[in-house]
Amino acid sequence: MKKILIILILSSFSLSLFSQQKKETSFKFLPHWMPQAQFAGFIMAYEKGIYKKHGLDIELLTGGPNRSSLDWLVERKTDFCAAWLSSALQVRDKNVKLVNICQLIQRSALMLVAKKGRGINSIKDLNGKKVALWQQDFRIQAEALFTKYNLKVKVYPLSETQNIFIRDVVDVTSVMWYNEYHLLLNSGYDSTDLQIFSFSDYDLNFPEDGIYVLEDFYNKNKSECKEFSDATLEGWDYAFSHEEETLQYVKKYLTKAKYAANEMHQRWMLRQMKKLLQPDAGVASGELRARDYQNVIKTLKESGYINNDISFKDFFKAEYGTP
Amino acid sequence: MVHLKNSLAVKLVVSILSVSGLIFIFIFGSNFSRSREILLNNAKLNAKHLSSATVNKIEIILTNVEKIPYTLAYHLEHNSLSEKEMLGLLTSVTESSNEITGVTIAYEPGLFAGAKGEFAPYVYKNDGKLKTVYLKSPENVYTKKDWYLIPKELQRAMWSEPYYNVDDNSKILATFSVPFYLHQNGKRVCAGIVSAEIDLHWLEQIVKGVTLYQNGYAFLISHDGTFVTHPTKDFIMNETIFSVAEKDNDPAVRKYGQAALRGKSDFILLKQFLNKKNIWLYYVPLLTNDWSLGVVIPDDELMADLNSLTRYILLYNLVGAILLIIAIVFLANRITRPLKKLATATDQIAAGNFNVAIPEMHSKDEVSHLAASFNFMKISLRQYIDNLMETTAAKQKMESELKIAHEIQMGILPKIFPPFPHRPEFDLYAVIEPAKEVGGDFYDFFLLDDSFLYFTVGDVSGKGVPASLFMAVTKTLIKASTAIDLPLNEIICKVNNDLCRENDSSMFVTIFFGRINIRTGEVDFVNAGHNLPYIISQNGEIKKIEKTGDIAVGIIDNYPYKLARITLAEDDKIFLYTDGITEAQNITDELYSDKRLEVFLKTQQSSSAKELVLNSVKEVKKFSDTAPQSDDITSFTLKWFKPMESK
Repeated sequence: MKKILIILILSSFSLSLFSQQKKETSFKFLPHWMPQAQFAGFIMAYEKGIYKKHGLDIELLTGGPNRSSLDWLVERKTDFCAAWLSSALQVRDKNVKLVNICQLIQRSALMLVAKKGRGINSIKDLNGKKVALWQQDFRIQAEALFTKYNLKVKVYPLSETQNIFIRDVVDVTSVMWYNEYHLLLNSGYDSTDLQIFSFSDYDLNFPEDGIYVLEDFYNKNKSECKEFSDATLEGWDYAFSHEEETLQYVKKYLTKAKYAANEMHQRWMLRQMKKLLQPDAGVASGELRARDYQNVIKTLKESGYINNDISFKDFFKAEYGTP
Repeated sequence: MVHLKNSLAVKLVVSILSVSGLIFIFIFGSNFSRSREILLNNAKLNAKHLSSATVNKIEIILTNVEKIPYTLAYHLEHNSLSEKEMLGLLTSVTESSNEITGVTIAYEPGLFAGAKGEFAPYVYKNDGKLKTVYLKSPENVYTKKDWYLIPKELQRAMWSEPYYNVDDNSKILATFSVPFYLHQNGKRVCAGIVSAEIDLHWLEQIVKGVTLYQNGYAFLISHDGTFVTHPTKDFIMNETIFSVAEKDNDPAVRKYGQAALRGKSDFILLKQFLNKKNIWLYYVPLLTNDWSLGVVIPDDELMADLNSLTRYILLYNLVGAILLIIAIVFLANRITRPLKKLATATDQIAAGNFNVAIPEMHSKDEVSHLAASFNFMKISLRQYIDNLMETTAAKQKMESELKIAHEIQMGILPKIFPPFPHRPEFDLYAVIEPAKEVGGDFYDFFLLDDSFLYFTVGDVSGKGVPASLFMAVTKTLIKASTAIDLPLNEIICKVNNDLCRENDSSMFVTIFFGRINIRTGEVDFVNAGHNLPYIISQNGEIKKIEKTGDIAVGIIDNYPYKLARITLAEDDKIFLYTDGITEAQNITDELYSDKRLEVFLKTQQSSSAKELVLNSVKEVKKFSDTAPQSDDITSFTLKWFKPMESK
């Protein structure tokens, strides 16, 4: 009996050891928007087996306008998510412990675009104009800008289309450089007709897309978090150096999610993403620069979007820069 | 052989073909461009009619749809409707229209009396049944939707951009929205929007119905350039005219798109449209909703008839050009063939064959005239050459006779030197260097006994055969008349009388006739008008033999010639000559002259007779150089050595 017991214990121990060895770490990832070229690095890391290579079994969830990635993270419906820094900080401000493990977009792609034909050539010309802004996090920088330059503007809600701008209800609209700006060009506007106000030029650079996990998850899976961000950055490098192949995969993902896949638009997006991820060094570093971070914190606090100071060290958990 | 490049046929072909080619190109080019213009105009008209018909069809439907929201808005502005009445209206209008899939009356929040906040009943068709929902936040914040916000802000009714049905991705919808107004506190305020939604599936049917030529088609783009219909399904709702332009890197397409969105209409050529063929595009706006209809005609189909006609014209012209070449070559050959024959004949004539026949020409043109002239020239030439040959033969005969005469003349002169080898008392040498023509110089010498040597040099006036005959007669007469006992002057008188007697031609002859006493050196002589001889002493002195004043022989009958005498010293030389020496000319027409002769003779003191004679001739020839010799040159020298016994 004793013998049997020992055998049983031993075998269960070895079984559990065996199953632990065999078990691939399986995680979910949710992007904060539809599967477009904005997330090409994730798609390629998945499709080219880079996550697998890093010992990760990743399930790419399909994002979209109706799925808040941070909500899903908080609700633990996903392990990893992509989100804007400003959005994540607001969640963290409400004492939800989430951390950034990789900052992808270094330069804010959000910008205001105005019709030169309406006499808007400099920031001061915005005064008294009608401006279309998206909701929530998309309007933080614009509002900060208006305060900073003491501009009185009439704000209109911007829907998922730019028709309000195209139909001349407003003179100024918000666009993402990699997305709606190109759509405006492909609605017949020439770049020479448009005056661009890029927030990064007005000391309002908000690094956007980053990878987030919950703090307890991070503490349990530090190496997996590191592998995930490494693999994602590798995926981005692959995407940038294999444009055609990447666009094929992006199209496949968009079609699968029942979105229109305009080839030229996705190409534009991929190319702009390269500039946003690698603004200076030419490589995607994944680093969140402290200066940018403090700038965002300061702006969010001033505008009342957050109330507390959030320590950079607590928030950003990546260990990059070590050889 | 004429080089092909220079041949008349080639020149004619090149010049005629290039001129006619230019004319053809001009006519063909202008015809082509005019035909093209006509074709294009027709195509444009065709496209215009077709597109206005299509636009009309679309706009009739759209206008019909528009009536419903307009009517509803009118009702809302003029009647205060309850919620129930409103739903009744919505249901009946949605039911009544085939095109309309749903109708909404959306109030500004708080402006519908029967509700606190948002109020937006929406009646729509679903599987043939009517359904009613209330649009509400947060699921449907209608006040921020394009169909609501934009017409409200712009304060005008308008069609939305096409969009996909949320529930059914295959359906493309568009909404017509009409704002309606209320008076609140005396102010007119926008109370909401009435909108009607339609399924655009019929649009595709209408636009698909547009066919032109074989592959012509039409497409619709919306107010922001999005393809609403296009034969390429992938374009619909996914590409805009600008993204297509971006993809093909085609600024012309982008330019067209911008013009179309501004409500312009035009007929334009787009090269390699969508990376394929060149097309003609007629585009026209839909005034109802600011969209634009484009009608595409492939250029090759439009121009198919013209291109085929062009091919035929080019083929005909090629055949025509070939015929023209054949005709030109034929004509050129007709001209050049007789010319070639003439040229061959001329070559033969040039080679001296006057028997060659000049080809006969049956035509009456310039070439036959030329041939006749050639024939005449040939006959004239032949006669001339015949005459020339006769004359030349006569001249040759005469020349040969003259040569014989000359040889005879020279033959009668003693030419063996030394003439008397057994007589050491004297040395004698003479030479006549004849001029080209037969002349009248002569010399002679003879011994009549042991003591006396007779010698003479003469020069007949004039030249030619008469002079030579006269000379022969004179020489013969002198020799025949000479006798030992006869004084020399009497001999000359006798000769003079004989010559004068038969001298009808008034010829005369100068003579120096001398006789040396070989033992004593005494020389008797008669000088009948001859050049004065020189005595050259052994010591180098020269002495002219004085004039006797006698005239030439043959002039005056019975003229009394005088006898004169000189005595030679031992080794003296007596030098006789004719005016061929002193009057020899050089190239500058200078005479050799007595003076030069004397200078020469002073150098000849130790010469033998032969040396002196030969040297004198050499000297004169040297002086004359290349100047022609005009007269006979006669040089005669007698050197006397004192005989041994008299020493």
